[in-house]
Amino acid sequence: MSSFTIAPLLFIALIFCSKKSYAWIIASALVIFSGGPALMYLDFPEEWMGLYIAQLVTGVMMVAGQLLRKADSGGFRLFFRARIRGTNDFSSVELLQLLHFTAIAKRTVMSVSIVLCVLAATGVMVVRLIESDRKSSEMDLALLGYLPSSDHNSLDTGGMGQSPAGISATSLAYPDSDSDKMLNSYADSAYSPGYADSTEFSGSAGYADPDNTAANKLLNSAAVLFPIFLPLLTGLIVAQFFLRVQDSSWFCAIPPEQLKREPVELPSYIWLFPALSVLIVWSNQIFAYLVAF
Amino acid sequence: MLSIVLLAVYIYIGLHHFGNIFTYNFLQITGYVSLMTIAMAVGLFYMRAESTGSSGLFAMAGKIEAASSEQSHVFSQKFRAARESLYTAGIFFWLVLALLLHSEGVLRVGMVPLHYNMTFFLSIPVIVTLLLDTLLRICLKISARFSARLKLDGDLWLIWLGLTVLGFIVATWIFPYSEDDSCVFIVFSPLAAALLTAVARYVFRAGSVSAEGRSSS
Repeated sequence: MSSFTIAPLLFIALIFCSKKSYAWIIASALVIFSGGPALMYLDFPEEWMGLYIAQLVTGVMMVAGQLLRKADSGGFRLFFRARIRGTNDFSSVELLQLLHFTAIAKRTVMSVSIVLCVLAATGVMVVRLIESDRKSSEMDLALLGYLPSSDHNSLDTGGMGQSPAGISATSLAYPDSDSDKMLNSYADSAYSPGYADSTEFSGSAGYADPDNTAANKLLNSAAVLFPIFLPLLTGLIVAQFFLRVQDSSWFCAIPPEQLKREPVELPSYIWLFPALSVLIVWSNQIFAYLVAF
Repeated sequence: MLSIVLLAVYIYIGLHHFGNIFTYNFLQITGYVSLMTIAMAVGLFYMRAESTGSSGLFAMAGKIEAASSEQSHVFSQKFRAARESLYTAGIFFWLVLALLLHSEGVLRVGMVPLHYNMTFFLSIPVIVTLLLDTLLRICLKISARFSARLKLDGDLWLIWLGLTVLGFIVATWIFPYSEDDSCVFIVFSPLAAALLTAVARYVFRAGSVSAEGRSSS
């Protein structure tokens, strides 16, 4: 059964769910079953899906390890009790314990997603730096194996499969020997919705010369943002919505005077990331300038 | 005060730069994003444990003059929760925009190269967050009738980000077709912003320390 038929059923079940305690299970199933087709609709390259799943698995393992290290078993027990039966029968001490646990969990999820994001961004920057002396239209096309079809990059010398040997992003991404075969199959499959759009548009805007690969080159700067910032977005959503930490309906029994705030909920250095994204978008130009300098 | 100056410069550049070069309406996009950000921030604030209690944030700010220390503590908790909800909403829309730009594939804007467009679009949620943060502070100060007991702590990194984004925008404004000069300015604008923030922090901190010394003596 396809997920297109499951999602409406889940939605109806969510509306008519009388037992509110299980609503969150149905809601998360709904998110999974409607988010899957949305991801398919957006047409991500398969390598990115693989990378994203790897990032998710790594993140879940890091969160689990950190929580097992930091939190005690009582916190977990209180959390599941609150999830199933609500916090009406909790004592004040237990509520404060639960608040402490949920704050730890939220902070852990945020930190783990930030670490993953920084790792991916560093990887991209390093690959850009290594590749910056090569042809710029070629260099980040090979990042994560994302290749345009061969008729859209006519400037490239001899196509992607015959890229010069040596250290390249391709060899970093695919250490195995059949990477060229894989890349060729990608180039042949003409898989590039964005590129088709860009050439179409530039044609209509009066770009007559076929050497206009600037748009293609720059498109990849935007495209690389996706594998970098998807773990951060996932972490933010999980921390804010799914976990619903510091839910006011749970803690309304505590007066606000007794609420001890955990020191940092949303880390302040998260404002580094918007600046980082602009730097990544410009990193092609920056590294090219540095190499020419 | 610094954030108000920042916003004025943003609006000036936005009207004179993006209004001419870009086909998008700068103010319209900013309006949409700010409306969504407000909605999400209000929702997040009322989800939080700190939002509970008999009186709301603005009502507590109105009674801050006669408040006990316990009540002003509760007020600062609520204010920090509200600020954090706003920041979460702002960073959420920034992330969504960054990912949307990818899935759109290419931005359909005439002659402007894509990284100039990205600089423009990625800075909108930051500007909106700064704008809403400033508005929240101003509204709280007005409802407290500019009482000196109202302590609203700022976020140093957010000011840094505002200055950095201003540097990015100015770099793309001054050098619209020279990528080399632009990228030099773009690399140096975070550093310059950090320097400016440190200097501003030092100056304001020195001022507040001397004011505290005067009030205690």
